[in-house]
Amino acid sequence: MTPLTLPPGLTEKDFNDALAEFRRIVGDQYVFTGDALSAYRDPYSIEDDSKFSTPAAVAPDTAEQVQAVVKVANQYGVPLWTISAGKNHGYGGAAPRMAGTVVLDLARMNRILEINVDSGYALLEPGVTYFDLYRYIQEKGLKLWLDVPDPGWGSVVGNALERGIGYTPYGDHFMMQCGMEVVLANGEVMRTGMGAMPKSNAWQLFKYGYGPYADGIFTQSNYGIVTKMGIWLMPEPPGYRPYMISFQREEDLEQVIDVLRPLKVNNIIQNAATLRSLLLVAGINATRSQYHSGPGPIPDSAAKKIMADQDIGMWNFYGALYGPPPLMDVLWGITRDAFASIPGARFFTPEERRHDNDVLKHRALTMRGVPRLTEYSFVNWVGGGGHIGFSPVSPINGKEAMQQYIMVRDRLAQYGFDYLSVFAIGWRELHHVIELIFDRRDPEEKRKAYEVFGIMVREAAEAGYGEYRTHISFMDQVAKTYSWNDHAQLKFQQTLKDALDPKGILSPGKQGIWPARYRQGG
Amino acid sequence: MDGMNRRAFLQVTTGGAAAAVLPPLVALPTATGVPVLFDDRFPAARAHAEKLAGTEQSLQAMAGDATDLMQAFAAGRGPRRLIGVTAESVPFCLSELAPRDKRPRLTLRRLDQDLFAWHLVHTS
Repeated sequence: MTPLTLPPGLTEKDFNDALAEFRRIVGDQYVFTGDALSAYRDPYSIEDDSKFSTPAAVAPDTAEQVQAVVKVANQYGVPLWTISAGKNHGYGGAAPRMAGTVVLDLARMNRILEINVDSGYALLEPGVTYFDLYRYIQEKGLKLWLDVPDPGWGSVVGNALERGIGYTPYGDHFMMQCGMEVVLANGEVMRTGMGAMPKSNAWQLFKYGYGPYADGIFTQSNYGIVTKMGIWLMPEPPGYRPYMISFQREEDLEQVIDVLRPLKVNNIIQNAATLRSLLLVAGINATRSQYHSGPGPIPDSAAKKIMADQDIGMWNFYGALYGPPPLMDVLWGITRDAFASIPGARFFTPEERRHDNDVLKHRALTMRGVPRLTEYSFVNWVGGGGHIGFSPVSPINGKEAMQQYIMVRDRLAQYGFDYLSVFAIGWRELHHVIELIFDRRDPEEKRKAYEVFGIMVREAAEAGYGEYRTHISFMDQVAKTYSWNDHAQLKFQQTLKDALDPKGILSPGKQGIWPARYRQGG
Repeated sequence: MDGMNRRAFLQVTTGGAAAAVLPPLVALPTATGVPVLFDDRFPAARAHAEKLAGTEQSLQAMAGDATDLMQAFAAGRGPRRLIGVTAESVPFCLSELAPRDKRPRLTLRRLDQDLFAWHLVHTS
């Protein structure tokens, strides 16, 4: 058990008094201490757990309770780290950035407040998971689809706030967000966009309202606590055809990406499609030791054996068509012809895949918004299942993708790690999400993972590639890579932080944004 | 012990560098009447599961997607306890899916580089 770390600057008496106030607000059974805090650890921490330990967690049930908790936190100076489902695995899970921070757990706030089928939206509390929302929609027989990340156990609100991604045409989750209710650090509550107008019935329909658009500053941030959020849902289309295209050679990556760009920019590829590396696909149904037991990265001979066994390529593109059949026919013809220009490209439907557990059969579910946990199996690749995500962004450009790939592959190989990645295709960019897989029971593996991750952040930044999201261990380092004009953006973020949260109680250190109270070596 | 047989069940087969950092192994409890799940993508999993099951328990193969089982168990709709021989993500997900204040008790034992024998029981 990690020793108790109190919030910085608090006496034990003040801390216990604050906990007593929290208990009065939410009820004894919803303030957690001691052994119950194991659920708030980062299971994949690559540093000493004590660096991210929490002394308590408090779980309110309503926005009013959140307001009351925030007021007490202000009174005593108790820092709060907000989580919802707490499934931000690979980026820190439910653990706070700063030791001694109390976790504000919003999982009990799990009400589906409204679903509008005609306009295609839901209004949700942050504790609603993709599984919850999917089950609700199925039980009611509503003709709406979700967009889900992989795995689908997280919070719909939380994932959008982290600017996560999914796989349908609605795959950019923050883009599909519309309207928030936010508890501010002073305990006040506000609604954004059209929600700021008392009689408006367009809160979940028009994102921008009037004046400066505020919603963005509450994503990946520590400026407020989102207690309600609108999310657009996709009307069930009249037709759906998932497909996979495999490419046989490592060097095909460059051409694949260049073929892909005009298809995506012109909306021929409708969904948030993905290009997945050999081992990320293989890792869902196999483990490394089944193919290679020696040190160092997987050799070419083993890679060839994996490709043959699983009938997959060095790169594997998973996309889908949506709409009336004549529309899908046209889009598929253009897509197929474009990718057929790449030697060795092979095209598959789910029915053409020979293995019961084939990844296309799984992706056929996620690309239509069915939440699953299937993909989580990739964490078993080396046994002992640890992972953290390294996620640089680049243009949809073949040369850039190859440059990133080689840079990361070689650096990982130097440290004995395999390259498992997905290129998630955004509207104009690539999220290159690399899963660094390590044995979480092996301290040496964790040490190496920490070291190589830091090097990759630095090298990527030197080449102009910034991470879109990162693990709590690297939030400061990544924030410092966004350094244009003497860190003007970070200074602006700190100015906002100090104005909105002068006592620095909300999620200190989130995304590298520290309140003044902790900024100078706090 | 809630109808459980407490018996040691497997010879330790763990090897390699990772094993050196494991905590001391303890006997894993089993329960009569509960099928032993095993991941049939790993030949060794069945062998381990057969030893674990002995003559009193049946085996149940699983492969790949255990999402439905995981959701049912976490929500308390399925069995109160589960025993398995799988890669680690299965018991991890089974445990993580449950509400944070109602996590099942997990006993885990590493068998080799990939496989773990585990026992999960809802205590609340």
